[in-house]
This record gives sequence, C-alpha cells and structure tokens, in this order.
Amino acid sequence: MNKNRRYAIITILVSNAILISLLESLIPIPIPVPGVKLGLANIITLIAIAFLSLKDVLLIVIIRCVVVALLTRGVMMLAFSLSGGLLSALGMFLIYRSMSKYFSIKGISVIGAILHNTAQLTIASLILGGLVVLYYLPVLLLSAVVTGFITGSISEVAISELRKKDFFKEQVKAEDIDEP
Amino acid sequence: MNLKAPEQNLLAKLDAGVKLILAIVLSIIPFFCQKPSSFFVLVLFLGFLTILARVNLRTLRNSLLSYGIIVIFPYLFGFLVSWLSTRYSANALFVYEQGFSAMALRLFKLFLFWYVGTLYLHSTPLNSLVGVLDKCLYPLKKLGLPIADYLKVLMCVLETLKKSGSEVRKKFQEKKASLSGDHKSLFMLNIKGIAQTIVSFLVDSFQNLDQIQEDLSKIEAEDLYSYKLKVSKPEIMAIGCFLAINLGLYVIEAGHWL
Repeated sequence: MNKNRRYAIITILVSNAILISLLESLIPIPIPVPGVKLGLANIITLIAIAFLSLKDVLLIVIIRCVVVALLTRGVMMLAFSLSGGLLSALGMFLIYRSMSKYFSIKGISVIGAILHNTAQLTIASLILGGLVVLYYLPVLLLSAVVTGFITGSISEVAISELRKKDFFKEQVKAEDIDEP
Repeated sequence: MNLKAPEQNLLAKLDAGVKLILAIVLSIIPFFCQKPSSFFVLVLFLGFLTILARVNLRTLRNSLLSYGIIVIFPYLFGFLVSWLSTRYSANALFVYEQGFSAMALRLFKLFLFWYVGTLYLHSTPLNSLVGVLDKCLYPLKKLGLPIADYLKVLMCVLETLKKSGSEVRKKFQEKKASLSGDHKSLFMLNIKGIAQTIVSFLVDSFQNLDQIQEDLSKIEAEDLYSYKLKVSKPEIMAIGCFLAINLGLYVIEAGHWL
C-alpha cells in the first residue's frame, strides 16, 4: 500500500476514534464511578487490530493520545492515556493474532480494558510515589469488565459489518488500481 | 476539547520553544520548594500568568476536574480503604506509611505541575506546538522514524476534526433516540444501533479517503507546522521575570526572607 494511502486511512481512523469518544457523553454509562469511561475509542483500536498491522495500530493509538492531550490541554493526561492505550493495544493485538480461537472480540476487549486501567493506575501510583492508589484497582477492574464487554459487543458487530462489506479490502484494492 | 486558536495575548505571542523551557523549569520548581511562602509566591505567579493568558473558567474547571478524577479520587479512596482496614483489622499490612499531610503536599505539587502544562498548551498555537514537537523528536528522526509524516497525519487529524466535528455530533444527536434501547435490554444500550452508527460514520468518512490521500501527498510538513527560535523583547522580558521569581524563591528557601 502507498504510504500516503496508509496515512490517510490512519488519519480517518484517528479522527473517528476522537469523534466517537466525544460522543460518550451522549450514551448513558451503566457504572457511575469517577474515572470510569465507556472507552468508545477502543472500538476503533479493535477495528484497526482486526484489519491493520501492529505498527499502524500503535501509530493510531499514539496519534490519538497526542491529539487528545493537545486539545484537552493536558500534558499529564498524555502519560496516562499513552501508557493505558499502548499496553491495551499491544495486549489485544497479540491475543487477537495468536489466541483468537480461545477469545472472542468481547473477551479481547475486556482484557484490553483491564490492561488499560491497570497501566493507568500503575502510572498514577508511580507519580504519587505510593501504592495506596492501587486499592482503587478492584473498582476499576470490575468496571473494565463491564465497559470492555460493552465496547467489545459494539466492536464485534462493527467488525462483522465491515467484513461483510469487504470494506478495508476495498480500500486497498482501489489503491492497487490507482497505482501506476 | 478546544480546537480554537489561543487568544492573542502576551503569553500566546511568546516563542513556543522558549516558553516550553520556562514551563518545564516552572513545573519542576514546586518539587524543590519546602516553605509555605514559596508556594504562596508560586501560586500568585501562576495566577498572574492565568490572567495574562486569559484562561477561561471552563478550562480551569475542566483541568481541576480531570485532575480530581484521575489523581485525587483514587488516592482518597485508597487512603480511606487503608485507614478502615487498619482500624478494623489491626493488621500491620494495611498500614499506610505516608502521612496525609505529606501526601496532600505531593498532590498539590503535582497539581501545580499539571497546571503549568495546561497553561502552556492553552497559550500556544497548535502549529507552533507541533513545530516544537518536531524539533523535540529530532533524535527519533535521526533513528530513521518518519516523524514529519506522523506529524503531518496529526495535523490532518486536527483539520478533519475542525471540519467534521460539529457535523458528526449533530448526526449522532439526531440518532440518539434510536440508540437508547428499550428498558428491558441490558443497560438500556442498543449495541447494534451504536455499532451500525459507528460503521456508517466510518464508511462516510472513508469517502474522503482519496481527498485526504491527495492532501497528504501534496502538502509539505512546513505548510502545516513550523517553528523557528525567536528571541525578541517579550521573550527577554519573560526570561527576566522568570529569573526574578526564581531568585525570590531561592531567597525564601534559603531562609534569607520570610
């Protein structure tokens, strides 16, 4: 694939991930716990995992985290979102590629959410210089199971819809035709 | 999320690189301060910068809120669990060594660190910010990573968000009613409806794929972002003011005053 086409696909996926995460406020969250978000942007990460390479997936996560940090004016947020995003993307990618026989998209999403929350809390405990924040881990892990299941369910439907449409293949095929 | 360019004020006009160095030093200073008077001076200085940068109350509230949710709430929760466990089980394992006042001071220092970052990002135009990021990532460029391409993608994402953000929000709000499932369904969420909406967003936005690809191939990185060090009168004044504050803090910490 031409490098600019690849970057254009990444641009669209990152923009969609940010836009979708902005829409979270419009969807009622079943767990009213401070710090718990549905994590709808994870749907785009899961779609990218299903159709793109690890390098592209990580690039999508990094650019998304940097853009969100720039726009929400939060430098420290970058450390939290990058650690959580990268660890969960890496974990989900490895499981999807090597153990997809044993895990459904929902299961992979739950594992991703658990990794995400664990990484974020670990960074928080490192920054605070104390392990006391880790008492919050069970709360976050429990919520990760619920939110991961919801985003996983949405991703599963979205991925199968995109597969039915042969959507990503179409994008690459179009490029092959365009190429001289 | 704020896609607007910062207002034209003295802080926004300062060179982004010089401002970054001053911001980094300023965010580290609280960790070297011990005396309450030093913190008072620092808070006054940050208040002055806040007025100078014309930071609106909404930005301040959001910054405080996200800091509270991400850092303070988990800490207070952990502290409460630790205190209750120690009180009711008398098990030494649950005793939390760090005192509340020491931790409160650390949380305050971290907040100042957080706030300086917010001020920097609030008062710096995005293209200069990405330009500075490009210079900071020079070692990675040397290692062969296509940083300029990645930053071009980043700028394109920002452009796409500017163009389609409000439109997507409007579309989603229109679909909101159909996205809430009936009351019997799990968590009242219409999973299939949300998934189909996301797929339709994706399919719609992929219609611009060729256009974005063309833009990416035509546009040079320099057209999207740039940074050149500029040291003029405002920068010299800012550095002077910063050094004066540092000197003041040194005098306080050394015990020569207050």
